[in-house]
Amino acid sequence: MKLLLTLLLLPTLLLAYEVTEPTNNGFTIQADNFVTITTPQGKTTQITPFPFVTPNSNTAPISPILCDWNPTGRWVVIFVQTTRATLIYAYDLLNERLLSQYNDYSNHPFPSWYKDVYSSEQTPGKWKDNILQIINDVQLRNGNTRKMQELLTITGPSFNILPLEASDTPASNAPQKPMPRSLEW
Amino acid sequence: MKNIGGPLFLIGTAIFVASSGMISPGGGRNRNPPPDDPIINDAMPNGNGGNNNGNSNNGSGGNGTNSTNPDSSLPPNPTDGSVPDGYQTTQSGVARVDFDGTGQYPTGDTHSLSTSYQINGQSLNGDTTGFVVQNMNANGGYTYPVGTKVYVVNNDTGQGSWSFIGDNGPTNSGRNEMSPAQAAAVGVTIDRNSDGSYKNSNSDSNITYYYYPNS
Repeated sequence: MKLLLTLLLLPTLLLAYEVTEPTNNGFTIQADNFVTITTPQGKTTQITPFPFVTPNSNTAPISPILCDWNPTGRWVVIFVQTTRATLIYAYDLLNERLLSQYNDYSNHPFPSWYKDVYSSEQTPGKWKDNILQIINDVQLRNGNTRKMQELLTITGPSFNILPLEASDTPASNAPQKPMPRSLEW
Repeated sequence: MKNIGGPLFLIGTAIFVASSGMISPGGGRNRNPPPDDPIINDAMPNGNGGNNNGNSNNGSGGNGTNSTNPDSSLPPNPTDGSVPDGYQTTQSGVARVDFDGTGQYPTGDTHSLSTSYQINGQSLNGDTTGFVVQNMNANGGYTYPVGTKVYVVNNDTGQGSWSFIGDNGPTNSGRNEMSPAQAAAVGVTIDRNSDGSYKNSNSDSNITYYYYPNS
């Protein structure tokens, strides 16, 4: 049975997923059944906690894995888009460690229309110091689409991703009001 | 989308074809989901209404019926209304019925034919299999593999049921998504049309998920 499973998984294990900007300053990001980062000294760290494909799961990325390197070379943020959601990982290049994520939404509520979210695609915007702007393209269950800004903030060994306040314009095609709270980048 | 690795891909493909043939000489079993799984947003085919799944709760209160994990058996539900020990994180929100997978779906509902949890490459049928949708990155930064055990509690009725992560969804929106069968297992009412077909994914029930990644 194990041999059979190995044979089944082998094609997947031999494949690599496309990575945009995989190298920077001696660091290299690779993606096969896991995403890993290798330091200039050859130390490899696993980024994704479990494999994309197993006999009972398929959470493989559906588009190229995005690497957003902080301009100062301090961090890299990795975006893995799956069918309905984006997995986001942050790595401290200076201390060579994977950062943990904790999101406290209590003071950062989602806009009311977000309760009807079906899928979300998050992509990187601009960096400002330790904060990365994220653009979240949201598809609602009725087929409409909306856009929302979020901020990824790195503090020490952890980071969070919190929504900025967004407008509650009812229709996706209607002009969207500017966000009441935003940052100058 | 795969970035193919040249000769390695050819070797892999050859083994894949061979291994597929070993399993199903007739070629009737697909290991992978369709390459372009469509996001569906159209009408349910006529005549598919009136869903009745095998996990429907009898409405007697107390404990819910057990969800069905087709890969491994789930523990029996507690009989005293307690939540089993050993969970790592929780997630609370208003129930939302999710129709991803191979089951029925309401007219106009955006959904996908595939689920992240698969059996021999086949996605789950939410009408017959109770499962929950994990909100990615919402569990205090944890993300669990699909198949992880989850205990589902309907806080309005007190009904509880073992289930598992069958699919993944967007980050926390205050909603706890679950398959129709799982909704029925804990007494969540599903809006239906007069012909019995699903009407929408809305619900008012307050739900908590307890995640058990170590069991």
